[in-house]
Amino acid sequence: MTLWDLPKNANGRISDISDQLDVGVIDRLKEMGFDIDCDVICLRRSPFAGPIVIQLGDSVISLEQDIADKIHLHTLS
Amino acid sequence: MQRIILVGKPNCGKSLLFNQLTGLRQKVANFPGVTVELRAGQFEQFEVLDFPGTYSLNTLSKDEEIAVEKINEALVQDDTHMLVCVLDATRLERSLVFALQVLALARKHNKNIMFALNMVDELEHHNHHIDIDKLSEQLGVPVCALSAKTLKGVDTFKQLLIESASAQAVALPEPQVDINDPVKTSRALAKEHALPASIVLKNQNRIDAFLLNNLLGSVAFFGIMFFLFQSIFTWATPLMDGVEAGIEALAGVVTTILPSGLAHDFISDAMFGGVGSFLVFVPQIMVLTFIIGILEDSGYLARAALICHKPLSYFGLSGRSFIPYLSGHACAIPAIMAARTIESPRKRLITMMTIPLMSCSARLPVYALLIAAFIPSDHYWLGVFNLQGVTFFALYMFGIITALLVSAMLSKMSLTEQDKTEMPFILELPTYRLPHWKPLMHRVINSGMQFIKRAAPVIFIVSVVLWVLGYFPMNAGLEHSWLGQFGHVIEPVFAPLGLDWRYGVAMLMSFLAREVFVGVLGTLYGIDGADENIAGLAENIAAEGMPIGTGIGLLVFYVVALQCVATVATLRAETGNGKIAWGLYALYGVLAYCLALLATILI
Repeated sequence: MTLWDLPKNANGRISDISDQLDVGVIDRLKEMGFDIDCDVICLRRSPFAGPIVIQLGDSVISLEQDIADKIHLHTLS
Repeated sequence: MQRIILVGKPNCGKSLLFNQLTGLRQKVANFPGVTVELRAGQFEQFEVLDFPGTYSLNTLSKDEEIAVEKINEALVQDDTHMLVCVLDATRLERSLVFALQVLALARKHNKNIMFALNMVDELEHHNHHIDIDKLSEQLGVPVCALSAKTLKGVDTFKQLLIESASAQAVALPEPQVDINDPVKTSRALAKEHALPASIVLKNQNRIDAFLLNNLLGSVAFFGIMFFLFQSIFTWATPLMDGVEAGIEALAGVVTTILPSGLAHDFISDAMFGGVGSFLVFVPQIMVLTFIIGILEDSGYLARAALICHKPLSYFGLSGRSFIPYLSGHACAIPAIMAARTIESPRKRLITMMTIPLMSCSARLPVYALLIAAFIPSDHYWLGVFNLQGVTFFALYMFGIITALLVSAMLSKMSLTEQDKTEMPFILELPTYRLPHWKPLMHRVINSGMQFIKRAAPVIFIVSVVLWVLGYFPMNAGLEHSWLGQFGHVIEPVFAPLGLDWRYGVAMLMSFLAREVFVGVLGTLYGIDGADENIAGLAENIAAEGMPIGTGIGLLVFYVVALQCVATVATLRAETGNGKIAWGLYALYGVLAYCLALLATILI
């Protein structure tokens, strides 16, 4: 599954960031804490496929679908 | 002068620390066309430069690129004695990523550097303590814990800063951690020192559960926006009236002293009438900056951008375009300035280019006059809604829809080379904080000053040119003045719209400022003080029995046309491109004419 598929209040662990994204964007995501084996929690799903809001480390970050569906996750219970 | 550079990630409290260091001795230096704002101030014998908040030295957008370029430029200069990197103690991991990058850069250039660990008051609130000495040892750099808000530790910081900045470049001790892998090192250091995320984010997540709730959040969003919209009018009105009264009083005194004649008429009409009238908008700009500043500093603006992002993305805009669009209904000038918050250069440009289509307050007298003249007051739509009121609403909606359609069209075009570096929508939601008055007040005062500096020269030149054309030959009257003669020449252009030379002159003169239309038409119809007597002028226009299509055409023209030289001057300054600004001036004029012609033919 991808970060975009994560339901509200569910946890996930990052397994991969797709290389379809621009290198600059991948680097920025990594600097923001999007790294393999990091845990994320989905805090908000917006109506009409608007940006999702997630908690990652000590940050709350909003991402649009184009990016979120390129971040792959292992699901956690 | 020896220089100290202040850097840090956004929302780390850097601006407040800058204010605490420099007091009132500061100025804003703008780079045209980008959102980069560099502030300079004086602290003791040093010049302090406050660089824009940056997430990383690896840039993603054009704006960030310029900010980092300026940091690099400053680092190679001999005047730069010291770098201060401000860190948010409550968000240690995120702050350290950037701080470690800066540390590596400072070491490379052999510059003094120290870390200011800000917001320690919030850590104390949660009974958390960071071992500063250990952190300093691990990083191989002096770390100073402080709170720019409560001033705790600021005196010690200042003392240390003076000592370090006065010293020659010293060899920093080798760090005990790997500073070349900032992401991993930050995570490890945060694990050891930082306040747990569950405590840091507890309050923020609780407020977000309400403000980002799909139903309640939307209600709160519309409530806040309504408040913002109202404040622009209600809070600014007494201030605007005050400025207007002041200018009138000054005009009264000056014109009484001057003997009647050319100089008297010039000062009265061109200076006070032309240049003076634009100063009235300054309070509105300052009130708007104040409200947006509160929204931004409190952390809500990021949430508003998030809520609006999806609907606006259908038109090639960003969520951050919403506030400038909303502000544009009061005045396009502060709205164009507010577009600085848009990170994507392309979306910022599209937003700025379409803001003039929002029905600003200067259109109100024009709408009021034409609706009273052409739309019957005793007709009701669906038997309930007064037709005049419906027309008002329709004009506002027509402006918004046109702006969205133009945005959608512009987004399909490649506007600038910045297109390639499009910033995707990744938004870190900042902590909710009570705004501090000091940086806010500086921003409010600066917004007014910047507006005057940018728009005044253009307004001055155009006012003088129009006044000369309307005044000479002397005592000929407006109809036989050069402007009047020109009006007769251009009459054929306006004839297809069903309008004679008087409307041609009024429309042409209103390209300086659209509200001029009512005054010029009033003079041409022989009614003095037409601004205050819209009803009498409307009756005169209605008595001429012009077809309704002509009236609708005129209204459509005023919705679309960009008739405000101050807006063009602001557009030119903010885009850094005169061609775009004057091109829009012409293009919206042509589009307005074509749509008006279409309305005249069809209705």
